[in-house]
Amino acid sequence: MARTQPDLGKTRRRETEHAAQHQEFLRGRPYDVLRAVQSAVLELRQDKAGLFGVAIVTLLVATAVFAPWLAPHDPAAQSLRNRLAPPFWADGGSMSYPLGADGLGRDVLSRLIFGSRVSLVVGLSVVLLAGTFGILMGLLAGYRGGRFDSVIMRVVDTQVAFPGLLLALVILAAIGPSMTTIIVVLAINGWMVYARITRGVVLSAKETPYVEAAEIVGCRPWRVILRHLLPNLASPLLTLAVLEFARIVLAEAALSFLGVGIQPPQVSWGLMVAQGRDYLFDGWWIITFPGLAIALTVLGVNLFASWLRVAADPQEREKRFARSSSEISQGTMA
Amino acid sequence: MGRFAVRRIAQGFLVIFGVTIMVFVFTRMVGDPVKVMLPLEASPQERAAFKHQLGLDRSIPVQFASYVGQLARGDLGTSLWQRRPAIDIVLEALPRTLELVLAAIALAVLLAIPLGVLAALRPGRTLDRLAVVLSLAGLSIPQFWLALLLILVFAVRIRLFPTAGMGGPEHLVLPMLALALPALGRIAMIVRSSMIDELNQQYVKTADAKGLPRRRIVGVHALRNASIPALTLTGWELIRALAGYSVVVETVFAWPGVGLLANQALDQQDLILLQAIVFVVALMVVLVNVAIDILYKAVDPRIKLV
Repeated sequence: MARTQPDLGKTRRRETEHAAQHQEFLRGRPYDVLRAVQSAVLELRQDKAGLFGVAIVTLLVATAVFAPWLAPHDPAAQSLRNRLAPPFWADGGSMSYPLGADGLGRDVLSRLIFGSRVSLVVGLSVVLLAGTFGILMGLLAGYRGGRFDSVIMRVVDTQVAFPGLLLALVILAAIGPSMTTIIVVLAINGWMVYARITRGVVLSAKETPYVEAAEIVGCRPWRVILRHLLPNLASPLLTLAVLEFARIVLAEAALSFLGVGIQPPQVSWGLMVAQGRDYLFDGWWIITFPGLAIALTVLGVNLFASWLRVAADPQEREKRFARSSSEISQGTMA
Repeated sequence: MGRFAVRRIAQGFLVIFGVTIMVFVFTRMVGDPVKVMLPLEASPQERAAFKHQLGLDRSIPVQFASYVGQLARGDLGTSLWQRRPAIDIVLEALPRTLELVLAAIALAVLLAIPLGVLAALRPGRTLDRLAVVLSLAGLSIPQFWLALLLILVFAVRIRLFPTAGMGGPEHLVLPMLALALPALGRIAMIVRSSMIDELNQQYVKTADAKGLPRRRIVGVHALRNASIPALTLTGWELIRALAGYSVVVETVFAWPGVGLLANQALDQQDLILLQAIVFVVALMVVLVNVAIDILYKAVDPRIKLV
């Protein structure tokens, strides 16, 4: 008789193991950095920092969408009379060029506003492309296992070991720089992180009773993958995608700065800094503002990611609630 | 240990092989090297001759076999730009890059550890705030912009350091800072967070209870455990500096290392030299990875090298 009874203890044990493994797999490099940011941000009041992140992200999206209505000038319009006009608060500056003009008399503010479009489009496309491919590979590797798994993971390890900028430089030089190629190259550079985390979560979720139950009642593999495994991935992947977006904004800026990214007459923040290099002695504002835009975007997106991690993960939310309520009880006792 | 060494060397070869294949595929199969390297006005005859000279008129498998064969013999081809063996050019520039990168990462680590530890000891105080701000800045500020700002402030406004080039130690200061500051912020952040984790562990309480001096608990017991994640990140920073950031920083400061060479090869459309650079850098990356693994074992004897 005893043999037919379900072993509840075992099931429960397996579930805690699953939770522990789940945590374990989130310890890849991006997550180490993320955890560190979080613990740092906690001191600055999580909500304020999160609010700042949300504000920056909203601002970025709004600027990119409404660029033609926001920009005071055509970003490509040159005006030799106004070349190297300083920002409005400096001597000789005026409100018609609020952040000054560059060496060809183009309005820095308008170029900044239009540059946000490139950052957003490149960032989103790369995340979408690399994310789709990486998640697919991770799902297959984790679910199928066997030889497919070991081959994919070997490829991932190899690619992770060699960081991208130099390789991206060579590839872009060989196939010619453009917005499309930069998106493709950065996606080739970035799909592995998604594959690795997806595979990890799938491996641990595969062992849970509900997935076994789904398999026993005869769900097809794709149904198991999409309906039962994929929801586990929503929170870690969302955070990862936001973090990757920040990394891609930086990478695009660096490649454009080096001249293998976005090409003129298109506008990109990295390209603006490169063009301002020649006027380092005459106009500090030309390189300062686009650089500031990049830094603020990346900072805001990172803070947004750390806020999202808490907001999108029920486990994390619970932890945070426990922490804040214990702080409150300690406060009343003191 | 022996099995570990074999595995790591095999893995290293795999990395180098993978990078080689990627470069090959993109330069010869996706891109057209002749179009890239010859000027627009070259005649069809010139193009055909150039193709033949580089062996590009052979089939792809034959090209690949001869490419790998050359690599195995240490022959990375002849630079089209300088007309001498590409490997010689890269090896001339390599020590200068190593000097810059190692100096920068050493500076970053030496400052990040005390900063991170002190910040962890007194969370919320001035030093901790400084560490947090530095970390967030290190996470978000692009290297090339920081490099230009350093030039703007320290070379143009207050003429303290030369703007570019290589010479005495004063030439090293600005490029080193441009590489070190972001890394410093990121490493300090990891040291800080893992130090806070360690200080909450039971063994710290035990050591406290049996009356060990605080200095010893923090500096020896906790720091050793906290240094493992810091070591991981430092290795990663070293790799990224070698295979990425050095290109940007060396270009801005005209520091004649591998990164500047890569940018020049790019300008000269010298794909052969670029290939050689990627190959040598991949080798360096593999070496750093192995060195980090050996250091792990030294810091944490529990880690088994398998």
